[in-house]
Amino acid sequence: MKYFLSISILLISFSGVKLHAQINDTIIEKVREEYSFERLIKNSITLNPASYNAARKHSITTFNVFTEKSNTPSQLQQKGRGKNLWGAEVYSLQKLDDKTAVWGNASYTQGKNKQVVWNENSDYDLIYPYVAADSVGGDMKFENYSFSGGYSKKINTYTLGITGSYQATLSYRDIDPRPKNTAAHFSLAMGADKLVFGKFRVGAYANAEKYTQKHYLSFVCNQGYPMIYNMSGLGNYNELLSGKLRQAYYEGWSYGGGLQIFEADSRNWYLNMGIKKFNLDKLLTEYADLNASKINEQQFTFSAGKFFNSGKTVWGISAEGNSTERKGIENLFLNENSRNYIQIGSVEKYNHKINSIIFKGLIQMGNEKTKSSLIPFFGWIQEKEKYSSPASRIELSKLMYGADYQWLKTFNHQQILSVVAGLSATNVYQKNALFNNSVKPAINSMLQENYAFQSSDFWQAKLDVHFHFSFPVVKNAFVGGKIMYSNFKTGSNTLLAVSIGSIF
Amino acid sequence: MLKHVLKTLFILCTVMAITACSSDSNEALEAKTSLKLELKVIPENIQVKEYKNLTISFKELNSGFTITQELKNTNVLQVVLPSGTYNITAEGSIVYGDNSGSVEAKVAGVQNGMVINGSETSKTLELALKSGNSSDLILEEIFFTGTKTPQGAMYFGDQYFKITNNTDKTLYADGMLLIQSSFMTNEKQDYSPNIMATTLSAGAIIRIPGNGTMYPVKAGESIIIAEDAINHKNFNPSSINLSNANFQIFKEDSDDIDNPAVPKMVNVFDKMVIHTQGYYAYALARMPQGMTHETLVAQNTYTYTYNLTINGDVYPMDGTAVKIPNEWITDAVNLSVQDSFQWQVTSPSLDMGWTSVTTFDGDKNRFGKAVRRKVTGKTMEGKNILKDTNNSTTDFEHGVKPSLFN
Repeated sequence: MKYFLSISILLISFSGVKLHAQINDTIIEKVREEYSFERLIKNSITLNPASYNAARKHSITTFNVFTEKSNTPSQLQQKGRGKNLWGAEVYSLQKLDDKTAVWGNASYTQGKNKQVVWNENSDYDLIYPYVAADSVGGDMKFENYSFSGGYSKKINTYTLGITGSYQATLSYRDIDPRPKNTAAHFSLAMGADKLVFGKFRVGAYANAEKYTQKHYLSFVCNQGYPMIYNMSGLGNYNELLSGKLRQAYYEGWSYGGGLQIFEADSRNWYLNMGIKKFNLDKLLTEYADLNASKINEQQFTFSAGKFFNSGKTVWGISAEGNSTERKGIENLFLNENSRNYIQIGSVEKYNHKINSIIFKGLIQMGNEKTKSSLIPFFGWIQEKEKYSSPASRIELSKLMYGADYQWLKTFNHQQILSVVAGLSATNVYQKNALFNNSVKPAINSMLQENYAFQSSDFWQAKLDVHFHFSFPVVKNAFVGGKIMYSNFKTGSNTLLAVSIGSIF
Repeated sequence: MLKHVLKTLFILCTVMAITACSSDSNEALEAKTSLKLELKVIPENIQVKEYKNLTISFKELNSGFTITQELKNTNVLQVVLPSGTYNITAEGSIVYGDNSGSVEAKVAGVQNGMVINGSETSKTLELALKSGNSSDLILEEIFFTGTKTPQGAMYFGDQYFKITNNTDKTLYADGMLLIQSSFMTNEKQDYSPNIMATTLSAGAIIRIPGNGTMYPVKAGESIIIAEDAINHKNFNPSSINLSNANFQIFKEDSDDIDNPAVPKMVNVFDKMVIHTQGYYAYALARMPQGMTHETLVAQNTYTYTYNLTINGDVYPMDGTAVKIPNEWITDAVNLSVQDSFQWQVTSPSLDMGWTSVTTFDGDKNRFGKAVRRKVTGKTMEGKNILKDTNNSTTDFEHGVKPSLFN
């Protein structure tokens, strides 16, 4: 928390330097650029820090304080039944001159994740399936800090860029079972792009990340405690390691990179391909850092788009695809004596494949006063999760379709209203599951409930309204509200968020 | 135009490539080991004529995977198993003897923590002759958890052992040794010398007094050895009246309760403190004719050593115990807690399994529960016939209401 204030002040003062040179109209243009659907679709190019600066025409600083409340009765039990949080965020991109840019971001969030069961760790999406789990669970409080910064510079036809970020998370519970998880995430990315034939740019980037999570579990009440399972996927667990485990340490590295080619001026066509490898080890600190399990994940991504601009209308199509495969390797042990476990082998038992592709169309019409944008989309997702023995698996194939519509209206006196309405439906047209029958009844009912959610068709509606108005001192302030409703066979999820802030 | 078409084709190709990847089903091969298991009867001087049948059960400790294999007329098993650490139990019957005659006998063997990995491996499992139904007194019930007072406090004085004559003749309890093991079932160490196949290492021994005929136990009848032979209901309404117990455990130099009307057990070696979670094995034994307990302690006391490893640091440790040869033992029961069980502390020929009252260490619901031998029938006189196959896992009820509580 102590760094957050100083970094926010640093970012705001950056933009403060430029404030006197701004005209009021520029603020309206910045707001429009911030909400532009066209910019948001083309944003995948900015994975390369060298290509980050030219994604926007204007420098911008935004600051907002937000609160969010959600109820998710339809969700994986490991992710909880909803969130209550509040936070603050500051973001700034400053074009120092036509060759150089700096940008930075700082945010703080605090809240609680409601009714998280079968997961006593944080960052479930990173460390699954190797979590410490029990049938009791409860609300998990959390605090997140994150800082990031970047710099890019144009040298002749080349642009070079670099970004770094740091994120720290603390999650804990005040009643038994009492987990305390401290996670840290560092990442660094470097890239370059070059103008070719005066028409398009070719870019390449590489990134590396380090992730760690320290996990402690304690019990104050000595009336007894539930069995703590060392989960290894789809309800299976290591019997030798389960029981009284109280500590674990996760350490992971990820490396990646990508290539891109895109039209230089307005990015009206682009192709971006990336690859990322992630390795994570789970170490048991109570047993002299015994390596319990390992994750190897490989991810391919691509995004491509083609847009046409006739002056009044912008239209186009984009595609984004992702293929991820996560392999889990468990180590096998011999309990030589109660305190000394020896590794006698290792076996790869867990495999999770997710393939997805989504096509988005864009139609944008209007003028300075009123702009309408429509993004219809259509996507296909296939997911296969397997555990080799005892044989367990979940296979799902989904089709997703819908549309988002935005109405951006500029009134007199720098008042801008953005209304985004969206509707989508997901249809699980193929589903198949097999679970190990000899697991404990509590684990079996968790697996069945999770599968009922994952295999459920659902539709989703959202409404997002932001209203900007001029305000003394900060020049431009806004209030925003968002409401989202998702209807599953297993129950409805709702989300409500409110934010106030400023763009300058 | 051409560039436009080429770009579109490029995008389509990438899309196809990704969807093509998804139809692969590259299954990771599971590490399996081809195991050759030879079952050997010990001691080696037994001449086996025929291995009639053997049932071998495997349980892998990491995954919980179990499999059972049957052998007929052979003692070599060939099986392919997933690699791991296995607990193996074998039971069956053999025919052994010499030129003068043949005897059919039951055999059993247990091996815990056997590592089976690599592409192929050969292992040996030792089988011991199972002593038939005991012809002496056996442990029918052990109540070791104590009780809880109505206020929720722990109360121990009401622990007891119930020893029963499961035969059809009158037996005498005089001189019977009640033994508590030196090693604990939740703490597995490499104790040296490793004499467990032939000897029970005793950590505490008490002896029923008498000159040989003072304490008869009729067929089907039982005797109670109580921790404190008093009416515990005066101190804890949730407890029982043990003032009519046959014997009491009295520790001389501790502040122990004495009921002058109840004979005291003779303290032979160390102090018997009955662990409220179990964690020890208890056994009944008879010394050979003419041996006194003083001689037993003088001759059979030994020192064992082991290495205690904590966080990678190794500390050499030692302890003292009394050797009780397996031949003297009439009955043995391993006790533990389900989630904390590491190993049996007696030879498998004495007890192949173990029993418990609770699932996890520290369970506050364990109080007022005992382990009791199952009843398989009734004699002509209406007395219970107790199950005794030298396997406490199957012979006992785990965590039931003690018989003296009503």
